[in-house]
Amino acid sequence: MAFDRDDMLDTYLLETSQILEELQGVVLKYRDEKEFPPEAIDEIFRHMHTMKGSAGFMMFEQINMLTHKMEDVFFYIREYKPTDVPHKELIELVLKVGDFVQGELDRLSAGEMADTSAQALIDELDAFLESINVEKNAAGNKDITETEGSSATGSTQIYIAPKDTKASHYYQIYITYARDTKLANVHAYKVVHALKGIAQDIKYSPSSILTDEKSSDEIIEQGFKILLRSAVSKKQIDKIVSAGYETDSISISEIDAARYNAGFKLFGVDADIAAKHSKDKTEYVPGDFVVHANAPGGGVVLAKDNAAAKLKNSHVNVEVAELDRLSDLVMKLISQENKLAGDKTTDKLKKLTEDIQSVINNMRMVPLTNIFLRMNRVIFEASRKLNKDIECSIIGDDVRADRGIVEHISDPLMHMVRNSADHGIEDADLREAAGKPRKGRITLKAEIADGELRISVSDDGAGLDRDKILKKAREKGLMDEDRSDADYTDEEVWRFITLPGFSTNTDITEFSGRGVGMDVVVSSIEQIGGTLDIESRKGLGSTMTMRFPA
Amino acid sequence: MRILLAEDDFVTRKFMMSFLSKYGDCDVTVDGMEAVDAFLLAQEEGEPYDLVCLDIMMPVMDGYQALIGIRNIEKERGIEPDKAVKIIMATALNEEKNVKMAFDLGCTIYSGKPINQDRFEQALKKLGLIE
Repeated sequence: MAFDRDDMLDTYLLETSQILEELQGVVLKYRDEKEFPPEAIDEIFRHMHTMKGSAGFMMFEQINMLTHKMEDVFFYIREYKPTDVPHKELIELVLKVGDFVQGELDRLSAGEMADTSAQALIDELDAFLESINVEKNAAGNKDITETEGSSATGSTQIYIAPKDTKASHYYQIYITYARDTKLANVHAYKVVHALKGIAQDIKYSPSSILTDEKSSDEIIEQGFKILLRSAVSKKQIDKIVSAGYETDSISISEIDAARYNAGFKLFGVDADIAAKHSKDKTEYVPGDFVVHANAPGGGVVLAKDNAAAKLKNSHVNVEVAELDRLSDLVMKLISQENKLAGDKTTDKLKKLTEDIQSVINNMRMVPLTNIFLRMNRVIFEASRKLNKDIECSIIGDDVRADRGIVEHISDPLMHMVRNSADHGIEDADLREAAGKPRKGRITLKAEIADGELRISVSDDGAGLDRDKILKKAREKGLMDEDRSDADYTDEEVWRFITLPGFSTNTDITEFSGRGVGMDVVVSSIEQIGGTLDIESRKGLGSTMTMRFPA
Repeated sequence: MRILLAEDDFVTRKFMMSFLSKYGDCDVTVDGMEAVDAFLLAQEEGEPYDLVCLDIMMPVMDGYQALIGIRNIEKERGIEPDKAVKIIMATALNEEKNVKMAFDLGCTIYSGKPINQDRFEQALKKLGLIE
């Protein structure tokens, strides 16, 4: 289970098999027709183009050449619209190409190389291309190579999988020594030394065994812990470790990479719990992989882990439920105290309990800094993907909010931010035509006012389209038959977009996706006791404000 | 061909040196910042590198930062994308997000470690760096 399967290969296999399915679908759909309609030709061309690209990227040359040739065939059909293309024969060829690629995918899944020669099939495609090239127009073929040739130069990117992606195993090793063992630290180091020969990486705890004699006591009390990354089997490691190092007990278990990377904080923890904690969902940024002090026993320390470690030192993670329980208990304490007769002692006691209560309330509060910074990144990524220039301004990120809220607003916030970037901010040319700066702006703002916490996302984009929303609401039968469009206030109109299944966007972009709608955003805000206000002015932009009782 | 290697681990460096020296003259740096400096120096001396091979986990600046640095220098000097230096990231990090980030930042080849030498050579041929 601890095989370190190559991520990129997995992605390639998954994406390509999805394409093959779609390819087969479209081909079989038009099996009994006389010819492919233009949109089917486009689709097949696109599939071949994608497979050509990804095979090139992974350096699967045979698949690359074959799909390239098939792409040429469809390019020719699309551009030159030859008549009398033998349809059945063409279908057969596409299916053959599909089968070939599928066969290679199977080989790759089994850990073999994708190097079966596709030459015979390529020759067949060449012959086919020749046969439909009625005018024997050499220029036609030349066009193909030229258009395709240009895309192949310059921007080529290639991925090379590691030599043997199944090479690394991860182990945790726990060794105890008898109580009367002298210099247990030296014994422990001998084991480390023996393992170094087969280790790709090794970390141990306590880490100061060579320089600190006191570590001997710690080892006897708490045992010696090793994390090992190595290509060798558990059996071999067992052999090395048990080769007479005067140990009391040894336990070796294989773990997964994520757990290994989490270091000693998950050492010995149940696999299920560990899996929960070690899921690293955060995105990396350049600079995360700067190597810091290479301490003995510490393995490699990276910038990204270091920052996390610093936070860990000054903070303890507490379950919100525990905090809730604590405040409940204090409330009970206060109500009991109120029953006590008033004298100096009870007054002091009351003061103390009040202090405790305010400390607990404070403990529940966390700043919004992190979540706002994450949104900044979301905006940055969105602006790149959508090819729009968007800047992000942040106001009030030091505002603190109840952690019950902070832990749950990430998804709704992200959705609103993406909506703003995708549907709110217009393309630069449109903005310029409307007399706005070419660069769009999204503002994240938090404030505490009138006894409530307000977190808002505003953009200076196009604003919501009242007419479009009304039209859609009519279509969906959400509106009162007796009321005319003009009867509806803006507020009522904006409310429509928060209803389940409502989306005015006819062409849902790849970016903001189609999964979550505003209805989900609203219901997740309501779940944590908040409400959502929408303000929008045509041409000037929209503001979505979440309100929570402070 | 002129090659620049940035690699902080001694054993790997030794291996990569002898491997890359088959294809050309190989200079070595031990962290990301040195690599950017070496790249700039070579540019200024009019003997630019044809191939830069970056480790990712390195001191001072990591491979991603070095990659950004080099691409920015090229941009600043007005070097056309098709004349840009070929950059190989060679690393044991093979999570998809590691690979994606490298390509987004403009790396040419991303090679997992241990390096698959046959494929590596094949890729150099494909890029027209070797015959």
